[in-house]
Formats: sequence, structure tokens, C-alpha cells
Amino acid sequence: MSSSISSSRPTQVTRLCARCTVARALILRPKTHERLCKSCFLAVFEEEIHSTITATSLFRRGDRVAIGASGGKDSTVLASVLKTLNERYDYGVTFVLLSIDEGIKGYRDDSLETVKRNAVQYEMELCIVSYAELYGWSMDQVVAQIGKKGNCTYCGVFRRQALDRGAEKLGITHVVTGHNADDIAETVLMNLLRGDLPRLHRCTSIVTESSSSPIARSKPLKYAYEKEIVLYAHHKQLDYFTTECIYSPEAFRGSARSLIKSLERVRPSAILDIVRSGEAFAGMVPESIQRSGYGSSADISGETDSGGGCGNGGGGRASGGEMLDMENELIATAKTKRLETKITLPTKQKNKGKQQTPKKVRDQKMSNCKKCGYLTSSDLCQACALLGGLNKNRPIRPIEVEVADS
Amino acid sequence: MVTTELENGIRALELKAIQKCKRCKEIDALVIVRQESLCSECFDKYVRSKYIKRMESFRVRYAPNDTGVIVPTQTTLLIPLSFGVSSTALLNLISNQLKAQRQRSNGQTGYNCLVIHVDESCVDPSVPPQESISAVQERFSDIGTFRVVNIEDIYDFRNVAREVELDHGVDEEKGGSDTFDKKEVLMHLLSSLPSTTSRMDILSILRTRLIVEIAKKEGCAAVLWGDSTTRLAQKTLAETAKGRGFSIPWQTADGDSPFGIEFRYPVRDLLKNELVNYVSIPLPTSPKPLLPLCVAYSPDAKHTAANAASGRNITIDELMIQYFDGIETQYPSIVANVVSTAGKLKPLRRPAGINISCKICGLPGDGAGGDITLSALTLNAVTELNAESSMCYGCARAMHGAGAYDWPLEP
Repeated sequence: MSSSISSSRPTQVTRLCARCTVARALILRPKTHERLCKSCFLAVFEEEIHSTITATSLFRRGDRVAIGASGGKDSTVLASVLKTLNERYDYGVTFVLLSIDEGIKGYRDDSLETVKRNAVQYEMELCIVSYAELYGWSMDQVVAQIGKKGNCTYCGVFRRQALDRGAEKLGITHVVTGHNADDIAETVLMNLLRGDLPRLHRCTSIVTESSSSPIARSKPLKYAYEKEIVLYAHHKQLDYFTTECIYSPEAFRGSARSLIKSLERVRPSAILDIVRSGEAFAGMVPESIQRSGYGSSADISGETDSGGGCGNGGGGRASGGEMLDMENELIATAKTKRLETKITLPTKQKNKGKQQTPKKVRDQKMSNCKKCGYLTSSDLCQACALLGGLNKNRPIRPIEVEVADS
Repeated sequence: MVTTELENGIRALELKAIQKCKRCKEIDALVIVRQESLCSECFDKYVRSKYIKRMESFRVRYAPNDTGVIVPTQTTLLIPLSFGVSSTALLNLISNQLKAQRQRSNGQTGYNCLVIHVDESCVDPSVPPQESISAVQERFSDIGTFRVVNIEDIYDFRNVAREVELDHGVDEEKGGSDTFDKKEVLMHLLSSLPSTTSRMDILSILRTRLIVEIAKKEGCAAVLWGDSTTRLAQKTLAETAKGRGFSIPWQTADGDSPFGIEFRYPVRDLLKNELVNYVSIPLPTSPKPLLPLCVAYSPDAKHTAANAASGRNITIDELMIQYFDGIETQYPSIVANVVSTAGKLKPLRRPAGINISCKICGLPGDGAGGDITLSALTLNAVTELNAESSMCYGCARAMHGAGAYDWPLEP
């Protein structure tokens, strides 16, 4: 059957770029499988981000906008592209780099060096906010105390607030983050797997503004493929840092991530198609569910949907513990449901007219945290609640060992 | 030490010691259902209760006929049969429900069935439809009529005016031959599609639409699909991945479908592996296991894990089937949770006046095109989508780059 294979391959012809039809095609574009030359690829990539920005009116002239910069490929490409576009199309926006120092040795200390170099390269102001300074706890210390399991919860809550504080310090109300199309597609699948409807409602919107934060977050790379971001960084010879966070056991994201990668191989457009489906879901989540979970306990899981998250899925290294936990939780809920007995009290037939007001969706009343003044729906903000737990177990004075003379 | 090796090698239960059934506490357990070991009798009851919960409304009803005499109403339900595990199990459950109704109601039943197998041998010749349907019919002779239809028969339901026009065209080409070769036209349609994923996608749309057309023609009250929980979860994620997220309520919920006929999923609360157990072991309601009737079922995964990882020779639908078959054993509640989450999604509210159904899948469109989702590649793709705005985003994606084809149905 395979007798004629050796001769059937056509002789190598130099392919020309599908766009300019002049230069030699060097890049197989991951999003479309078009063959492009280097300069056309870079141009197309930038154009798509520009059209995302203009179509969604993301910036206004005179805005000061912070770029959440980690030193990784996404935020480095974001900073580089925004600088290019700002100059090319005269957005009239001032960009500032805002970095979070979680205090993770061997990861963040190195990547922050990259950010510092970027600040010089792109001539942008840089502001670094550190967990240690803000909360008195670095992530290394948190992990030493609580272990690796669940540490992303702390990191997520801390980061969200730290970004807000950093932006406040800079006098800025808009932070852009490097979330790309792969991240968003992953989040859509993950929220379906976890059954998280409030997040399904908001995870694809390009700008997230919430009552629990004065700062708007947006994702200009929403339609950019991870592979193209890597290609762009490579061809532009950008200076970025590649190590992933050393603590990242998010099983759902890991599971969703490997699924996304397989889907992309089957049909390159699948990532965009999932983002598209996710945009439809946003309008399909019933209104009564949409807003639940804002700033409430559901947010505790330290999610990356509202920007600033690390989004590191642990790329398949996941232990599955998170999925198992959820499985057990679901089983437990089902069991209690089975044990539940419904008791219906006789309803009062009188003053019927008054009682029949439509079910009200409880609006969350936002107030300031009693400890730190951050916006919250309860007495303490999430960060202070978590810190309370951490500090309870921290000795007031470091333990000293007396050496007994013998 | 008991390991129950069933006929085709399905391992139902591995126990260190023989356990008594958790429910009746008398008979030895044979299967594990959601962490509970059950005997065949209690397992049978469990499956039946999950089914009955969804089918209670189809009980024997009486209404006056033309002459004013009260008679039982006649309802026909269409059951698509793939010879897979779920649809075959569904037939057994239906058969039992009808038997019980006859006993209780003087030989009357709440409904009767039209069982349809769609013969796709022109695409996949692995299922021999005639022998298989006879075997099933023999086993369930008391539930209604059985019929095999060919997938290419979808071209019988095309708009009449258009048919004449088209026949005319074919006539000229073929020099006077007056037979319209449906099979050939269908094969041409499928081969013009850009990928295997698109082919599988479009084929399943054609299958659904053929079944709907038959159900309407035969005056059926509803279509009873054999989708298990696992299948519905697979469908939810696969449609999401194909850009048809907007259509999920139409494709997974019990109730009126946009096709003007009711859709029901009576085994929606049962996992795939529970149904595999159901057809594999001798049960009080079917002492002879049903497995030999499930000719389209194979216990082995269609693709290797390496295939799935590399994305080679696999389609998006198959990838999702593999994914959920994998997590079903370990995380059954997560699978069920995906389906219940999908069930809470409401169809998109579309602006008043816009009421165009996608000409391919027939579902109320999502206003494809004109959006930057496709982004700049797509300056041309967007115009193309606008030109074909009678398609939803997912179908436009499936048909993207297709050659000339002859679509059998009007929107």
C-alpha cells in the first residue's frame, strides 16, 4: 500500500509569505496555519491586539495604565506590544510597570531582575509591591507554615489586593494583565468542570470591574495564542524569564490545560472557539447566579479570572488532589441532600398581597475592612481573614533554645 | 477473593472478600455503584428508579375520542437506536415500563415506540444494520415498530421546489438519468469538508436532523435520546470546544427543542459505566444479558492515549469521549456536576425580530460573524461569515474552507 510514498513527495519549493507574497515564509502561524514571513507575522500579531484594543475602547487618551508585569513571556510581550502600539497609533497613554514580589526564592527574585531590565528597555516607571512588606508574610513563609496544599489560595487573595494597593500607590485605576487566549479557554473549561457559574459568567469579559475592587482589570491579549506570544518574544528577541512558579498544584487547571493542548492539535482554531463559547456562556448564566461569589467565600479559591493571577497550572504535574477533594465534597453534599427532610410550614393566607414581592437578589453591601480598610463584603477582608489564621500560629517571639550547661 | 470477569472482560467488581449488598443486606454484591456495593436485584432497581424519575409523565392517560367515548390516548415516541450500550439499555427500561403499565392498566400502555436505527454504512460499514435490528426486535417485540433508515435519506426531506430544480441540474449533467443518487451527494458533501472533526460534527448534525424529520412525519410526541450522564458531559465540552457553546441548552436539556418537537434524555442520570454494567450482568428484568445486542459497543477505547495527546487521527468529539471515559471512574460526581451546570445555562436572549436558525444545525443562531473573536485573520473570515450569516459560529467553523456542496435541508 505504501509503495509509491517515496516518490510522491513534491520537490521542495520555496514558499512565499501568504500575506506580502514577497518574502520567504518562515513561520507557520499557530492560529491559522498560514505561512508568513517574520515581519508579516510580527505585524499581524500587533494588528490583532490593536484591533482588540480599539474594538473594545480599552484606553482613553491621557490614561495612566499599569501593566501587571511578572517578567514572564506574557507580560513582557504585553509591555513590548503596548509600547509599540502606543507609539504607532498615538494612544496617548502612559504605561507603568507594576510587579508583585510574592517572596518565592528561586522564582520571583530572578524574574524581578527581568522586570527591572524591562523597565529600562521600555522606559517605563516600575513599582514593586511585596507580600512581605504588605502582609508580613512572604509566600515562602506561608508555605513553610501551611504546606504546599492550598497555598495558591493565599497567593491569589494576596495578589489581588497587592495589585490594588500598588495601583493605588501609583494613582492608577486600570491594570492590564498578560492573560492570553489559552488561559481564558482553560478557565472556561475549568469552570465547566468545577461547575462554577459565577466565574463562567465573567471569565471571558475583556474588562472586569468588581464592586470589591476600585481597580479595573483588562486582558488585551485575550485573543492571542500562547504559541504566538512565544514566537513573538523569540523573533523580537525580548528579554523574559521562563521558570514557572514552584508551588502550583491546581489540578483542574492542569487537567483543562492538557485538554486544551490536545484540542489545539486537532483543530488550531479550537482555543478561539472555546473563547467564543465562553462569551456566549456569559449571557447564558441566569442573573440570580451571575453576581454570587463576588468578594464572598467563593472568591477565596484565589482565582486568576479577574487578572493578576499566576495562571500556572502546574502543566500536568498536578496531583489530582483538588479534583478528588471536589469529588468527595460533591458526594457529601448529595448525601446530606438525601438525609434532608423537607418541612413545609403552613403559609399564612392573609396579607398575601404584601408577601408576594419578587425574590430579591441580595446585593452585597461593601464596606471597609475593619483591620486594613480594604473594600470587603464582611467585617474583615479576605487577606486579613487569612492573615488572622496565619498569625494565630506564629509565635509572638521567635523560639530560642537555651543551651543548658551541664 | 472475587473477581467477576464478565463475558467481554468488563470487570464489574473486585473485592477482597465477598460483600453483602449494601441495600438488601442479603444477597452477595455484584457491582459497585457510586461507592455502594449492590446485588443485581438492587442494581436493577437503582437503574429503573433513575429512569422512571424522568419518564413518569408518560403514563396511561384517557381522553374522550370523536364519538365521546373515553379511550386511552395514543402517543408514539421515537427512540433512536445506535446499538450502543445506552440506547439498548433504554429499550430494556422502556420494555419494563410498558410491561408494568399493561399489568396495571388492563393491557393498556401510556405510549408505543418507533425505534429507528440510522444506517451509516455508506460512511462506516462496521455495523450490520439488518441482522442487528432483527435481533433487537426479537428481544423487544412488544414495544412497537422497528425500522432502519439510511443517513442519505435526509435528502428525501429537502424542499420540494428545490428538489425539482436540482434534479434538473443532475439530469443535464448525467445525460438524462432521472435518479438522484443521495448516497453520492452525501459522500460528496462529507468529502468536501475540511477535516475529520468537521465530518464527524456534520454527520451527527445530519443524523439528529433526520431523526427529527422522521419523528415529525410520523407524528411522534417526543424523541427519547439514549444519552447517559457521561455522554451529556462529553457533548457539553465538545460543543464548547467547537464554538457552539450557545447551543448547549438545546442539546442537553429535557423539553421542547427548537425543532418543534420534545427531546427527552431518560437515562441522563446514569453514568456510562453503570449502563455498561446494566447490559453486562444477568438482571431480574433481563436474565439474559443485553450485551450481545450492543454490536456498536466496544470496551476498548477507540484511540490510544498517545493518539489523544498528539491529536493525530482523532476528532474533537472523540477526544472528549476519551477524556470523560477517563475521569468517569475516578470522579463520577464531577461528570454529573458538569451536566447539572450545563442544565442551568439558559438559551441566549436574542434581540427581538432576529429569529434566524442556522441553516446547518437548525438551532437558533448566535449571530455569528462581525465579531473580533476570529480577530484579524479574519478580516476575510468575517466577511465570509457575514455572507454566510445564516450559519452559527460553530457550523461556520466546521464548514470553513469546504468545497462546493449540496446541503439537504432548508433552515
